[in-house]
Amino acid sequence: MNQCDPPKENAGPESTKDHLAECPWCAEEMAEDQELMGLIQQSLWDSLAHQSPSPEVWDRIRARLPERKQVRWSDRLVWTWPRLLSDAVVVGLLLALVGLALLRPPWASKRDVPSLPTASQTDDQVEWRGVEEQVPEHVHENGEPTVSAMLPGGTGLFDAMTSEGLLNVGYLYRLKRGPARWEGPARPGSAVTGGSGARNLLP
Amino acid sequence: MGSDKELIARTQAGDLSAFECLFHKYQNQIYRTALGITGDHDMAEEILQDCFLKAFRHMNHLHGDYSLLPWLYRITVNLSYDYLRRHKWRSWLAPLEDFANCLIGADDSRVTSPEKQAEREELQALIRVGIADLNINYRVVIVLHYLQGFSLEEIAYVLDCPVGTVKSRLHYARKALKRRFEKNQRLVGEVVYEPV
Repeated sequence: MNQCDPPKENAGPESTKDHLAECPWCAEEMAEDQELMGLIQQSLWDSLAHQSPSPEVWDRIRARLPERKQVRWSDRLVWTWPRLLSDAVVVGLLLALVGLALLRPPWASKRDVPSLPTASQTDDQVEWRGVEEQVPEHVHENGEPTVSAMLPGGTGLFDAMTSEGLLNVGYLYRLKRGPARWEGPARPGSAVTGGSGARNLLP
Repeated sequence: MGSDKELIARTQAGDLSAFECLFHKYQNQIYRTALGITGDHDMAEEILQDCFLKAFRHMNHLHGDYSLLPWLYRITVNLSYDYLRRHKWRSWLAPLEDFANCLIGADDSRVTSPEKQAEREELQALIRVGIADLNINYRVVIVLHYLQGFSLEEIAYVLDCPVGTVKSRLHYARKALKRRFEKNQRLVGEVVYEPV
């Protein structure tokens, strides 16, 4: 396209047609292009439109189809057994996990937090002070009752040890003298229960 | 012969005669497309064979409303790319003229005078060499558009690329052919008007 202004880029077919009607150079170039396209089409058509594959092609295809059908079962076995094996392993693992979850051993039901010692275990080493505040009650995900206690170092969550259904929460201080027999949880204080509490926090 | 839908359903049920009907229905179109792209009779036959074997293998994935021919073209074009890549040595051994000669099979029944025939043959030979010389991406769109009469959208489906890409490839292919054509015309002109 030379010696004239090309049509605007966004111009539609109508304006292109108008332009071609007015511009002899573009019209000439368009005619040349169309002639070339005709030549390409004609050339391809003349050279390819009468070509045909040899009749043996179908015979070759036909010969390979039943062969593939016959070996299909054995092929499937050969190529799929590793996948079947891995599937079986995965299913086995899943079943084992489900079994473990259902038939949980007694040790698995205990929480990581160690159980607190009974009063008789700590009598000669710790002294007790009652907690006046109301202690909220929780039920742990494994079904065991737990309590959280407001202690000097913060709030702690503990296993609730029941004594005839009564719960009393206090916090203990380690005595400075003598080694502690019990290694308590690494928290500033521990809640323990006794049977003489006034409040029954359990349901 | 039955509709494609019916033939596909019968093939899926294991009827090989239905598959044979499909083969005979489309073999020429597939073969000519492969020949137009590769320029090699043997390769085109291998592509045709592989195309139908592949189609048979995946026939169960075809749904009733699925059009078979575009799918076959897609397989053909992909196989043509693979074959040309694998058999590059063939194109090194075979000169360009061989590719063009392979495409020669002109129907001479419409040509009346020997002069016209010669002129036409010369032009077509020029075009054939031009097409054979094109990059494979351009050659594919030229064959699909001008031999099979595919629209830009249909070519985009077969090649699995955007319509804009097809448009640009077609544009550059035409441009390359035009350049070759003009160059040759100029050479012919120089020879003709050379002062004695």
